[in-house]
Amino acid sequence: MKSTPSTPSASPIPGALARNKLGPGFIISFVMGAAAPLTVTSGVIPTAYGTTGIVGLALAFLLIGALLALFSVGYSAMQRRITNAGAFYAYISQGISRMAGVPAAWVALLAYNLLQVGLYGAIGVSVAPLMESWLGLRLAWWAYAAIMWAIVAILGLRSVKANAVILAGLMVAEVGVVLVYFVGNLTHPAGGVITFEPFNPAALFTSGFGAAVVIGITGFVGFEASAIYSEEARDQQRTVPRATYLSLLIIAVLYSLAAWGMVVATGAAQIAGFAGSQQGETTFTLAATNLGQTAATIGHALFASSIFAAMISYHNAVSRYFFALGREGVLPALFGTTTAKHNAPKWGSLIQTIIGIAVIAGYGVAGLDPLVQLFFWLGTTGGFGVLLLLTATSLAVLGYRLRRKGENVWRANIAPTAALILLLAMLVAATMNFATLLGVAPDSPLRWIFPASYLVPVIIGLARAIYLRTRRPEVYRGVGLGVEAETGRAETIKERTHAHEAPEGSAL
Amino acid sequence: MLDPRQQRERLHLADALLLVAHDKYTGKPKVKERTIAFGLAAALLAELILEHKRIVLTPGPRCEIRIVRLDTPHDPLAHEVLNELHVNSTQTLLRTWLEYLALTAYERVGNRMSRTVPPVTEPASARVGVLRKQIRVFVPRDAFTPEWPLVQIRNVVIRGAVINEPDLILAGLIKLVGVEKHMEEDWSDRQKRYLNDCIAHLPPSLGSLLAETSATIGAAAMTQSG
Repeated sequence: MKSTPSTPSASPIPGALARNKLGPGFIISFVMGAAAPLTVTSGVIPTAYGTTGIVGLALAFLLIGALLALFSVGYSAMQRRITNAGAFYAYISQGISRMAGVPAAWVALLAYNLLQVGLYGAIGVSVAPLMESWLGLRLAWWAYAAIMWAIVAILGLRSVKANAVILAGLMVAEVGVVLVYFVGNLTHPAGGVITFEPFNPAALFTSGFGAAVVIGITGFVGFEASAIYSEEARDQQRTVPRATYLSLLIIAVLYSLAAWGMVVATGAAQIAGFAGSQQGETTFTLAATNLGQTAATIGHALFASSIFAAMISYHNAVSRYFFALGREGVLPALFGTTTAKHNAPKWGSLIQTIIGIAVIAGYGVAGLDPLVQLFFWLGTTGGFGVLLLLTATSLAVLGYRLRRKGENVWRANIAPTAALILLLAMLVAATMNFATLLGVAPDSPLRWIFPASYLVPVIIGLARAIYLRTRRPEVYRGVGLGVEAETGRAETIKERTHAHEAPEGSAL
Repeated sequence: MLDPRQQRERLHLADALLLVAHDKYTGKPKVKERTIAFGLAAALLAELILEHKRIVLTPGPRCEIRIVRLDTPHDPLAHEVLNELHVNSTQTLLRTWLEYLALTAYERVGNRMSRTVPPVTEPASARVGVLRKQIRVFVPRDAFTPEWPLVQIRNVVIRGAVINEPDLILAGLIKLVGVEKHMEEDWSDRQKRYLNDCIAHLPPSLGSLLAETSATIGAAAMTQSG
């Protein structure tokens, strides 16, 4: 026997593979890109002031940031032990049960779809004034939304990810604009006095507290996406948690400053009325007054590009959600197929596209308000769904029994329990204050219809889970494994055949 | 010129997959290059399992590679890969090897076919995509060679005969990579189902190879890195 003349030595493989791996910088810029700072500071915050009248949003962002950091303690500890990272339902399947995981997957589908389609309202509203001032074009918001929709539809099928460098550049520019606007607001305080009212707990813990919670959570959506990269991260143990905490800190401070600045420039008593009349123009009107028209125009253009980047990243996130669920059998297998040319999730992307145009057309025909009734209502209802998922996930972290897997008592028990209690309290407050969130009368049926819409995916998901458990147990076993479900099923096959194929020889 | 049967016999599994996944006249990839690379990596490992019988896989999730014989295979590329597996024996996860071998699989398999006597392919360069990116391609010396692996699979499936393991793995990888259109042309649903059933009944360790390859390609689609 001729022997291969080499002996085991230090492996070059981790190094070779690491060249394709990601550092915390990339992950932060990805997360921040998905969170789209200007979309939140110029879209969500002014609409929130106008609709809810809650002055304490600046404090809400800081508190929600801290709560999500607490949540992330157990979340990132669990994330290191789970193959299918990045999806709350995977954690819920493995930490609670698959019977809870399947409905959670459907809840997530609804929530992320709402967040995505809501953006079509914002893009229509943000592009229309730009086109009018640059080209003298006067089209309805839905016309611009439809154009953007078509671009997203094409890019989605070609798996075009916004180039990381361009995204990072845009993100830095957005953060710059937010900060410059903040300084502009702070140096031009209404009545000559800088108010700290937005940080006064009394301004937050009012009757509309639950509404502020949902707005806060909506602003942070995207932070959980860092987990998607846990397998791509250079150092699995440290890169992702570090990126998660840093992103939370940056987002919390940035949004808090932006929310504070707007109140400083208009006055605590006037902000609701001002934002209500100016709507999406609030931040730009303030910038034009404080810093000049050029600053407002630059911000406006970046606002549109920010929403566009968010649309692409949400579209990709949603289509990949459909894809993972199709691969593991929670959705029909059709959704698990990709386009051969670009390896992009085919039906996941198409169905998202169909939902998008249906919503744009529906709102256009019904003549509803694109900013408040599309962007804000659907976006925050999506945020409410994410709050539901966060709560269930923190229960799943406890159920996963990290203590037995070698984690310390802080990560395994204390932090997840505290997060669970706080999130439950937030959830109750949010449900009670939904009328304030939507800006409708307390007896309006809408306050119940919006949160109750999540019962639909829960029921569908439960029915699907029961069907899978009784009729297709091998698929049921793969729930929560996403694209890894097939390798999970291989295990089932192995068990069934009792490993009938023994290795043909002994290992050397 | 070799007769068709000889042509077919001197193609290894990975060679056949590379030829099927690229245009037979220009050598340009039919699908995303990284997807093909994962398929080729799996095919190289399948050669070591089936053709050379040097390694086995432990079935199930976190599938691992075990070397069972170390004597030099007659094929230089198989020898190279086996040597790498041996030298890096601390790395045993199939997933890691699929990702690692995928980095170089295309070049290595293409070069192997270009170095046979007479060569099956000729290296050249071509421009692809909107940006006209320049890539290295391996153009088949004749357009019939890439057909042979498909003809073989089509013959047995259409007859409903027993399909051997190398052909099943090749058919499975062709489907995973997404270039099965030509292979399954004019097949009835029953014939498609027959092939799928045969693939599903592969021994667990070979099933794991396909499942892990599928998951690797799926994961690349998930993270948009693929």
